[in-house]
Amino acid sequence: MYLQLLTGGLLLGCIYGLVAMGLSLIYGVMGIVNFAHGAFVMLAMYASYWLYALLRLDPVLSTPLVAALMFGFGAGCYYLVIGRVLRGPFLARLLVTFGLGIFFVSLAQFLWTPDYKMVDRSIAHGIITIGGVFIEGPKLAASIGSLAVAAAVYWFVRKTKTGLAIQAISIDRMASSLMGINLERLNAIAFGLGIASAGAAGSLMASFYYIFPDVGTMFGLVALVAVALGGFGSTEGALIGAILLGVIETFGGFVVGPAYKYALIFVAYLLIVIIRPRGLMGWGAD
Amino acid sequence: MKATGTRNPIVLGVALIAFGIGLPFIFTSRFSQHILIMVLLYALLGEAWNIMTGYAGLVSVGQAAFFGVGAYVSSFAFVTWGVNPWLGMLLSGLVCAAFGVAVGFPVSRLRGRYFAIGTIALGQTIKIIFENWEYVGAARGLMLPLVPEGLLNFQFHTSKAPYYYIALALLAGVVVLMYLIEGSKLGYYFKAIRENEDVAAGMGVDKTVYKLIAIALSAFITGIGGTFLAQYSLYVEPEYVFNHLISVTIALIAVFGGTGNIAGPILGALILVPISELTRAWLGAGGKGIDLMIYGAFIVVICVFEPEGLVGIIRRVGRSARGGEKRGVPVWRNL
Repeated sequence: MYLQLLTGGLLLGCIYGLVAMGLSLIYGVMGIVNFAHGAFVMLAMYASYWLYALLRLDPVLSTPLVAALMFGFGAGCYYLVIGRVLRGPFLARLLVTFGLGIFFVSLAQFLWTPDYKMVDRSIAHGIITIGGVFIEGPKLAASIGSLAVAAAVYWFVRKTKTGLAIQAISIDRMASSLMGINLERLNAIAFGLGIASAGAAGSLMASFYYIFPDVGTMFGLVALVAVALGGFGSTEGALIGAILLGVIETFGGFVVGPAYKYALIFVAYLLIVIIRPRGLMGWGAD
Repeated sequence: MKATGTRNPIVLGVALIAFGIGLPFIFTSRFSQHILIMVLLYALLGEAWNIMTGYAGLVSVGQAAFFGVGAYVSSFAFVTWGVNPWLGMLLSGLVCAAFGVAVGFPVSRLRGRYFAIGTIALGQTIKIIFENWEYVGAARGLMLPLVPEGLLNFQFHTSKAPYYYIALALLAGVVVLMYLIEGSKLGYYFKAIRENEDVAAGMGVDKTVYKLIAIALSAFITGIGGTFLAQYSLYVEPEYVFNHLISVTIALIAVFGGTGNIAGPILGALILVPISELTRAWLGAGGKGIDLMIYGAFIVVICVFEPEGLVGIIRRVGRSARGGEKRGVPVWRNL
């Protein structure tokens, strides 16, 4: 039983991890806490759903396409909105993404009604049994996909020239600008990449989750808690925080009751940051 | 730092109150009076937020926790024990202040965005607890029974005007309190903590104590606002009073008006609340979400084009009129 819960928690945690990684990347590079992150996940879920409903593309297979779409969309949002508030006061930087989130959620409600939508048959359907533990196919596919995308993003940031420039910005913005790095362009790429990660997670989840305008809100909050838990500025921390939250949610939902599972996540955050005010692996001034 | 640059605040205050008393005679329809009441309520909530965030620098995006607890305490006391709502209002304020100190003691250790996310976490947790707490009606909430209308019973059925005057009186009280804080040592301690809490602590300000005082004051006023809303709408439910959007709206109103001064939240509420209520009335029918779409877009536009808020505009106009004074230090540079 505990093995079953642990497996469920780890699978969930991997998906949360991908959402949280995008959030962490955006924060690390431009210091923006993206409260609209969940809304981007939701938009990607709808994109995946419509690709399925109109073109019969399976959500798992359309993930690269949705991620690419979300990359462009994220970069567009950067040029239109985010880039313009970067030099503004702290509260404007904090609230602008709240506004974006409210806008996207209501836009989805306006365009697609608040009704639940669902992908009725994914190619990854069915249940696998490994050593007495039941694993749902779509969730397994989503977790493996999330880890693969996370690894790809990680490779991009660590090994490519653009990725190194992104890292340089998150360490010292001024110095990297003096070294000839085009801040605007790289900020846009980093924002797009963060949104693409959220989008890939959304597309992978579309195969087994109900889709409705508010669906992303909780993912966004959980990812935010995961990033804070891991420590702002630490991508690995975000992944570890997310997996921890997935396990807490699954175990807590079983022990205390499913209604309280998110409350447990928030309480866990409060307890951990009270003991470690910069999260598990955070650094830098705050 | 007197916000509007008036020479005599008492004259201005009396003039504003006279103006406020006269307003319901101009706007006589129930709907326009409803908007006026909401403006006053949100101005009150914005001032409470201002104490915590604008003065003491503790960024809260979870004020709905205090608001909802305030709404519930008086309503529960009224429904279950028949406690008079006025007494309930005081009780709400005190319970919220105690609650604020209890949760604030550990949480005030956190800084900047860790604190802000902590307040979100707290707001969501309280909401989930109330949604599942059978004793206080769980997700169904509480209906307040109708009693004969009158000031003593805090219920009015024939006209909305009495609610308006009660809200005006509450706001006036809070503004007076804010003036007292602004000119007192307390206000300077808050600002010192906001500007740099380590330096403030080095100068001998007990930062934990003054952070808790700021949180308690803010929670007290927000709790009173919660009771007011409960008496005004005569029902409370978790989805309504603990809604995260309330927390965001409160912060937005104060930011839009301009943080760290008394006039800001009032100006912000005066402009944002009517926009929000009117779009909801005109476009919100049928759950289409257009009203919130406009609201969200509006937040984005403010942050992009007017991040300093209305008070920033007024100051800028004033500065250029006086021929380019030295620019003040940005309040949020440390966060």
